[in-house]
Amino acid sequence: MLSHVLKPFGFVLLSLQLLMGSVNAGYIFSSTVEQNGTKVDFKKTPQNPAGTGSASKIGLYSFGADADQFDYIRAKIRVWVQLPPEAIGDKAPYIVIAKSGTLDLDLALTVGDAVRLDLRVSYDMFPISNGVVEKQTEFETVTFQQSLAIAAIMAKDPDRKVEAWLASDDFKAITVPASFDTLQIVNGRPTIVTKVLTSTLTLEAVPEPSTIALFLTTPWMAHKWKRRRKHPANSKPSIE
Amino acid sequence: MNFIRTIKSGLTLTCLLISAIHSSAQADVITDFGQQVSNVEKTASSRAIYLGRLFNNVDPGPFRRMESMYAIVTIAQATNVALFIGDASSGFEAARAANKVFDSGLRVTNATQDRTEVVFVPGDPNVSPPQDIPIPAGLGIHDSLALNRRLDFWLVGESNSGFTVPSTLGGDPAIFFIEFNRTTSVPEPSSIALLAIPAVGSLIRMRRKKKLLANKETISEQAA
Repeated sequence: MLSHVLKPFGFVLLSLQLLMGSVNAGYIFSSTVEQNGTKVDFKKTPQNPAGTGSASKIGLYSFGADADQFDYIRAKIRVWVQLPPEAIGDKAPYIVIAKSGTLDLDLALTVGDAVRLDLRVSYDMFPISNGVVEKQTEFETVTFQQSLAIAAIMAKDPDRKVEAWLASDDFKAITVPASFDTLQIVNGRPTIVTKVLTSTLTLEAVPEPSTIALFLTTPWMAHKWKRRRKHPANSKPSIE
Repeated sequence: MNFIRTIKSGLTLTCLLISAIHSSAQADVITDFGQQVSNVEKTASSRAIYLGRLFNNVDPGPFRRMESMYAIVTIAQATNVALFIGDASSGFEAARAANKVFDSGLRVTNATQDRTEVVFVPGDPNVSPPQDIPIPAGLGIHDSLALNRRLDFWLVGESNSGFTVPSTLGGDPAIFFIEFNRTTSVPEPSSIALLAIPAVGSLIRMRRKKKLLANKETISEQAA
């Protein structure tokens, strides 16, 4: 009797452990790198006759050798940035994931070497300041198309590295510095302290399809197995 | 012989005048620093960022103009950004049109464009001499200080420029620092008059002497 109760329970535990084990193995991908600081102003084009906007390279992130084999569902970023007060709402700059070594982001977006995400870094996001501040976004949904594009961009690099850029269609006065200097006045004389800045990009991936199938089918299989054992036709004749 | 004597006396007089002016000339150094305000004003012709107000209640003293200066500012992505000084904490273009702010002649450029840097203009004070301020701007800046007992500072670039000036850096204040060398040795009207009157006087004296000499020679010739 006890074995009949314990066996399905054991299966459920085993499948849960399998699932948990694979989550711990890397369904949250996170990479912290030193900020790059390179900035390019968007050129004048027929679509952008005024030549407004700019893009700043945040950094080159690494998520492991098999990072191109996952489906990404959400993304968030931590970045040091100085934004103009007008950079809010749909004017807040957005994150672009691009192929490692991208020089021309406009071109990269056109040829599929970069993908624009719905992840935005806004001026009114805490902490609000007219200075260089560390901002941390919430997780933002990555669409299936964006996920495919990220995986494809990762696959183009032998180390599966990707760049993240902070792009704006409206503003040039955006700074994503590699470092900042703080001027301190000591005994009336100026002294400089330099701080190197880092950024973290986090991608959340769905569990692999095989794991989901295992998790969903295990209780059903346990139930079926229990029924088979209980069925008189399958049970061994008892000796009386 | 007389000619040499005249030149000698003229030279002595000039030397005396120069030494007199020099001994009365005074110079001093005033410094101040504060947190950058970083309010942006963008117009069709410029993009001006208000740095802030310094030298509150500084006595103008006997000084007449700002002769030279150092500036230290915290800035990113700047190329040839101009430092304007005067009396305006907002409405830069209107203040410029009303001659209330003056171009100091200083230009700020980041050494590396990918960092937010502290930039020394014209360079490290231990190595570089201070930047000269054009005389009209130097006079205007000092007059503004004398009138208002304070000075406002602006960084000004082209309207489509993307330079940024932080007010804070990760929670710490972003600071700017200004040092003026101010002086009284301005070619003010009284000094010019002081120089010109003796010079004209010595010229008249020379001419008179020459005339007298010529008259003497004529008289002696007539007597002979």
